[in-house]
Amino acid sequence: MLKITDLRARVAGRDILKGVNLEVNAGEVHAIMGPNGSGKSTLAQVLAGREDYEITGGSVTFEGRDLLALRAEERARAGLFLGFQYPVEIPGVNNVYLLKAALNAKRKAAGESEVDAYEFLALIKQKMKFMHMSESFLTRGVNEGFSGGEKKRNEVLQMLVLEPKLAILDETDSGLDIDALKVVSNGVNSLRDPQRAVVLVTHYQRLLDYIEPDRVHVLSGGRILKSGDKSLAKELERRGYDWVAGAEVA
Amino acid sequence: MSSKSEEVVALLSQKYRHGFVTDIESDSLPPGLDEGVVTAISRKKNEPPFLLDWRLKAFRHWQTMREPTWAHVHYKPIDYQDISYYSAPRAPANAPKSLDEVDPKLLATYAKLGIPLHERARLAGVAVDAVFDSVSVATTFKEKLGKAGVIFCSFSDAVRDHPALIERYLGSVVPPGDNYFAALNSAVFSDGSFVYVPPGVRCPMELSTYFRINAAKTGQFERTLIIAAEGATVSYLEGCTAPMRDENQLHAAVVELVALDDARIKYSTVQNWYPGDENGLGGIYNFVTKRGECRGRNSKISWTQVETGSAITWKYPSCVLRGENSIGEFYSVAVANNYQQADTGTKMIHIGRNTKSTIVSKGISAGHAENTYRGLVKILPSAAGARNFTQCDSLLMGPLCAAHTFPYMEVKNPTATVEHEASTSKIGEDQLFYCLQRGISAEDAVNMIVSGFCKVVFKELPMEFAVEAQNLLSVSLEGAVG
Amino acid sequence: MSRAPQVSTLPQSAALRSFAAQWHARDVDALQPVREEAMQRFLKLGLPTMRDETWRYTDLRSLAARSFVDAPRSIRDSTPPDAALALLGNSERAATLHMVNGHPTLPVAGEAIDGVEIRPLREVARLDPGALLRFLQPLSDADQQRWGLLNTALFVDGLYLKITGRLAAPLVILHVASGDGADNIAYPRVIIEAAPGSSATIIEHHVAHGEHTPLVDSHTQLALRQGAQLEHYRVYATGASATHVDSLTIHQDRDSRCKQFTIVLGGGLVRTALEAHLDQPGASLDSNSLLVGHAERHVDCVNIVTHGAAETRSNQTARAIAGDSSRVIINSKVIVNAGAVHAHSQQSCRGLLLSPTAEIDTRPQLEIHADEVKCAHGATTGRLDPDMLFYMLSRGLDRETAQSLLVYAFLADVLTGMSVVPARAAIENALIAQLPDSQTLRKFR
Repeated sequence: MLKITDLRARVAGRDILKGVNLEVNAGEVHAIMGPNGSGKSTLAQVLAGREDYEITGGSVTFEGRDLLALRAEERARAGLFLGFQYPVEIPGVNNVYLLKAALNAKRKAAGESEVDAYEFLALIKQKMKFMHMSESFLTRGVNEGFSGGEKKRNEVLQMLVLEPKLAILDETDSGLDIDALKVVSNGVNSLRDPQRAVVLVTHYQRLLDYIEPDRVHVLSGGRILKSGDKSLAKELERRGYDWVAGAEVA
Repeated sequence: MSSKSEEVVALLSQKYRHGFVTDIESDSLPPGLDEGVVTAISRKKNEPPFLLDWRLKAFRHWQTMREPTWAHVHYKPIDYQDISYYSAPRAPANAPKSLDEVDPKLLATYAKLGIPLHERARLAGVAVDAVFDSVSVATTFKEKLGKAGVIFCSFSDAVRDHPALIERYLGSVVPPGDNYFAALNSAVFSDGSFVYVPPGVRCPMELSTYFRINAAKTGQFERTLIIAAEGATVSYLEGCTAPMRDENQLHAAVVELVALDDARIKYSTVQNWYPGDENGLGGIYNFVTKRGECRGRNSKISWTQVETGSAITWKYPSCVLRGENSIGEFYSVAVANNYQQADTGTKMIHIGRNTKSTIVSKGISAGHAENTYRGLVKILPSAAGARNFTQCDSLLMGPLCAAHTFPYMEVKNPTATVEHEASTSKIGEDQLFYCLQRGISAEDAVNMIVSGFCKVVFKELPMEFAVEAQNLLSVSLEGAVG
Repeated sequence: MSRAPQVSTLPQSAALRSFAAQWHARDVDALQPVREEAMQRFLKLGLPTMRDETWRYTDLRSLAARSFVDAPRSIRDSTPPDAALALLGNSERAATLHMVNGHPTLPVAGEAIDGVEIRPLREVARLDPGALLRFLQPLSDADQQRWGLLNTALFVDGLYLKITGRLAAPLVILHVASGDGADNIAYPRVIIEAAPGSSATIIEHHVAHGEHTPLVDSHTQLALRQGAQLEHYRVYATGASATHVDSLTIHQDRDSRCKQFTIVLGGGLVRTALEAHLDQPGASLDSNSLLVGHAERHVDCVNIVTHGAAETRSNQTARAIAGDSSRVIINSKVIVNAGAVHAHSQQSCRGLLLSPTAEIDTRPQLEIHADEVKCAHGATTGRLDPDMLFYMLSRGLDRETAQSLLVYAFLADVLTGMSVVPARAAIENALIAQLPDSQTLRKFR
């Protein structure tokens, strides 16, 4: 589904990604782990189409299409979803309106009709319940005044409504207490399906107790240094990131 | 709070520490100003003809100008014919070749000011070009700087030894007709400092000049010109003190900075001119034009000022950000107590693409003082991607003082981002009470709170001066809370 | 008989000479001494220039060469004014007062309204000049009051509204400006006094009618007595050729609350001044400005709030959008007088530049003479937030929609404060029509 080949990118004159290779197939859950500053978030933002990042080499295909040639909104409509590490607050723009506009944009791109307002409200209420979100969400601005945990739930809620083919969740676990972590994990697990894939970007192994990955990759210094199955995460937890970075030097 | 108020009165009545007069015979021109005086100044300094012409042009232009009135300050009209425009310590037959030959009275003056001019200076790693009234009397560390290729000398020496550089850069940032006081300075400036840092050179030490106004009724009109060539870096500190006198004295300096490609200039000022007494009598009128131009790409000019002195301060150290990606910064602490008036701030003129500026201003008012921040951020249509952030905070101490914030933001490019934040409030009662409850004296508590308020600016000062600035602030404001 | 004011020098410009001529031609009334003083001061000060602090960004030199004559007192044809917004929807209880070039067309359409006394100024001047003089004085030389002086000298008629009860429905004053082809000038004057404990919502709506629009020098005064509550709107929707100089003065007594909206949606050159005085403890003001720069429009908004007493509160919110080749200026100033302890003020000025040929100038100012205060302001000018934009794009919204949505959200702070629902809807509609992507914007209203 997603094939990243020797991807290189720079931000503000600094090389951050220095040749990333990664292949994600439908039905799989991948975890990308790594120390702070390793390039995890950059990779997520580059895949979502952030313009401030300069692609200096490599290629990315998504279902056989050249992902890098698409604009951010085209990627989203093609079924790629990014759960932001720090979701921005947009006061004055209603949560529900944004979601509805997003869903309709996707449906329109797929040649489908716009969603019926009544059905939409029913759908969103059902998903909100699943995500343990309060009704006040319906009247508030996008992420406006949300706590860190509420913002992350909102990201997952959006994902559930938009039903992407590929979800990239950037540190969706950070800042969550244990109850919220369970809710968020349930949300992600409910989306698991042979037709979809999930990429979890995380610093800690904790999330992987709730969402079991098929593959684990360690990103460090802008490259994937090690890949393995879920046991790699456990080993990382035990031995620390220095272990992997050291391995490369050796 | 009434016992505290008495304490405040007592503490605020603290006398100016730097008020003494050195008794040296001055070689002065009589008061008055006309083309003859301008010519005489130029002759006394053996200047080349281009400079005399330049002065005369400035003088003629000045005569057509009117004194500005827009600043939020009030003062009696200045009689420009009642000022002596030249005053130099009488030169002995031979100029001093080393510090040993310098008039001991002068050195004693510096010692009282605590200037690290002698051995202490070397230990502190500071080169001092001490301007006593209008003529440089001693310059240290010439050798070390010479080795690096850095020129650091009095303005007069620069006119003599590097006339080409003077002719090329003088007035290129602050044109002679820029404003009333700059025009006056251009006509009659007596001396000042000159710095040239050649391409790729990082100046090996902090450069410092201590200005001092000494003779009675002497206007001080220095001229400072600093050029950092491609890739050069320099940090310059100016400290100012003046003796106590009943009448007001005018100080109208001009400072020009030029930063070429990739150059960096840091200019720090600790200004402690005599502020007048507690009734507002006497004190310096500090009407100064300071401007830097980031002429080259990726260049940076940073102004840091701690203004505690002068009866009236009227200055706006500014940056013209012409080079692409250039950066301008202004960090200021301005303290006004008793009857002091300060109208200070900056101008950031964004011309080049992706230029950035930061303004941080902390104003403190006490007594009957008026403290005004005035700043302009101008984004021209050419300055795509320009950014500015401004933070102006004012702290009020006592019911009779005033604090004003007058920012101007003119944005002509839709890709620019300009942000301004300001607040004005009294010193926090709860913070104060917290400290008192922990057994800290009111005076110490105020000092702590005020230094906390100013910290973000102090940390921009070179280390050795940050402490001095902090002390100065404590002296200016001890217990100033009512 | 009228007398020429004694001024030491003859008026310099054609405009000033024409104002002096209007002065000569007018009928003397009981307000004469104050009017004469105002005229003298105006002629002495002259037209504002860019050297005057609050006129720094607005050039009126083109007016100087023109000779102005009175605008007609009525409109010949009776077609409805251009571009009047339906600010009241279909509410039956609402009432509209009409003014043509400053002349009220009384009696009011429909019945007299409970809780409000409505009188033409000309009548008040004749029957009770003392009552009127209280509002005309003291005169001020402040440069934001310059045109107010001229209005005081030369207004012929106007409206005096005294709110005595609690008005359930909003009241609209429809100001129609209409010229006869000459260089007309009109001096609309409105005085609104809200009696103790009264409450009302009043909308002043400025529109143009016909081919020619006079120069309008309008002046409105609001006086809120103890505990009064007033929501006041000024909505400008004149044509692109109109020049309008409006000044609003507000005086607030103890515990009164004023909510003010200044909405610029029309005009070629629009200058709006607001001068508010929180004269007694507990007075509170919310000033909201929504300034839309469109085509070649020049909008200069000056808001000056003076905290003259303890425990007063003010909140100023200004939002400016400049597109095309327009220019929008926000001057927002808070003055806290000595002794006005526990004054609390907040200013927020934000500008959005939508075009490379537009300009926004912002001056949020603080002038503080008391120490026990809390005053803060924030100001930003720039483009749409790129993080917000990216977030929306990453959810699949197309760029136009995302941008429009953000523009709309930018204005929401001002719009959501309006309590007159039909007015808000009408203003939104008119506003959206001047924004890029208005089609998209309409969808999510």
